[in-house]
Amino acid sequence: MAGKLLPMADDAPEQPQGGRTRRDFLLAGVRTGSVVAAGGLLTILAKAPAAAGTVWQIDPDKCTQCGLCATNCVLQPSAVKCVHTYAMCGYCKLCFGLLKDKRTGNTLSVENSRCPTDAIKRVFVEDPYYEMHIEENLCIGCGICVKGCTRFGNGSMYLQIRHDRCVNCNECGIARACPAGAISRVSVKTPYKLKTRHA
Amino acid sequence: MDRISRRALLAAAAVAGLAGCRERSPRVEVRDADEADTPIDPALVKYRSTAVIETGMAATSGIAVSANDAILVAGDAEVRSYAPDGKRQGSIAVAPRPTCLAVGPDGAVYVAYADRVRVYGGDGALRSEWPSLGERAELTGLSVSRDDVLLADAGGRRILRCDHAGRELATLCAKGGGYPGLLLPSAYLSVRHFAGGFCVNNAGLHRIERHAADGKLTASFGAEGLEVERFCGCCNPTDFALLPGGSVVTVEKGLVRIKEYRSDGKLACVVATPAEFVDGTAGVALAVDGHRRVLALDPKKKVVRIYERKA
Repeated sequence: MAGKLLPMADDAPEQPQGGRTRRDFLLAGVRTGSVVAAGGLLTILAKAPAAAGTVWQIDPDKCTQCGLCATNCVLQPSAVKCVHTYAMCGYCKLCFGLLKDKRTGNTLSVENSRCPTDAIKRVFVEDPYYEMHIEENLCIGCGICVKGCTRFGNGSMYLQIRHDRCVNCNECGIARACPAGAISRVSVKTPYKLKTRHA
Repeated sequence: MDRISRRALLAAAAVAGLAGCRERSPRVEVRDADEADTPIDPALVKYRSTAVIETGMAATSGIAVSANDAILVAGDAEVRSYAPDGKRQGSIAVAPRPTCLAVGPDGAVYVAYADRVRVYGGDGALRSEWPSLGERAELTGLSVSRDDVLLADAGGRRILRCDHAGRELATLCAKGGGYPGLLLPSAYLSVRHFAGGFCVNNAGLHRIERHAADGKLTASFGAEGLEVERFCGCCNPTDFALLPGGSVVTVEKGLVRIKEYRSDGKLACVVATPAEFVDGTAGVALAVDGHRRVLALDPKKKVVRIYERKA
């Protein structure tokens, strides 16, 4: 019986004596329809192009920081996050991933901050060097910091799909929207495309 | 009634959960409104592009001008020579991946690699190969005079003075004595002999510095900012060249601007605007020839852009 497949059915109160009501009939129809729909979805999934052993990832060399990663992922916030290759970073106090091109002084004020969610923290290392930390819980993957870092800095900040968040959709929303064709499936054995060189 | 209430409760919980999720993570309109570049007054642009030399190389890295105004371009695994009018004259095969080059007074071609220098004769024969400067070395600049050879080691954040055989004579521009040292967020360090001493671009401090022969800082100019007379970004200028009389031609990355400064550090004019370069251009190498022409090696397009003063 189809209705027993629904989670609510197992612990549902016993049917009242005296036959099925109109509501029972309609509910059974809805349940049947749901199962048919689910079965159809499973069939589609089973027939989907083979993507076993692969996940989606962004090629940072192709990424144009268009901002669509923030808005086209099925997850909100997006599974795309800014990552930072510290070996490439210049450790500047005057970080253009952090600060706007046009600003008032070099202080960390709201007006001067490039990040719309304040996800980048500047941490003092030693005079005159500073380290930029990305708070992933705040990062929405907009790439605004990446654009600043790529343009003026070393390109040590860039976007990656984080696989502790990504649900690996068959058809990735941001891959479909990406104007640069920067997102493709990669092997789960090499799930990230990390930068190792200067921009 | 009980069943309806239960179902309604679950449905409400689900809707509330979804609504809650959306409330916690609202879609943010992503817009970087901070893109307005500082416009450059056209009246400041006093040079015009008169020629472009297509190198056809896969990668270009350095440019120099010989005593007879031949234009030398290093890239791939060769040094190519062009006549002042851009006509190709010849080339010499060198070891792969040169980083920069300079021409000695005797016509010898000094080619720098990450950690060493190789010297080639005018006939293309390898004259000498200097010992490695170590794993941390990143040679990005080279200047040769009759007296010595100056190496700009961006990796070691230092200027090395060597004799023509490659023996180290002194380490210059080290931090200390009130001098902050060379701050180099990225590997862009150039050096040029000047008036018995030398000039360097201290990019992290956004300035051009003049040093005496012993390395003592004698003068500097430059400040950070988007304005045309300043140097933009975290580390600029990335290269410079010296005109006769001590004027300085600089180039930046981010906003690729080539500008000429007077010897006192005041902006004289603009040579080339960002509009002449494609997005992502960084590491333009500069040289000037005997006719005060500015030669810019564009590593993105692999071309040499020649600029001359407007009449």
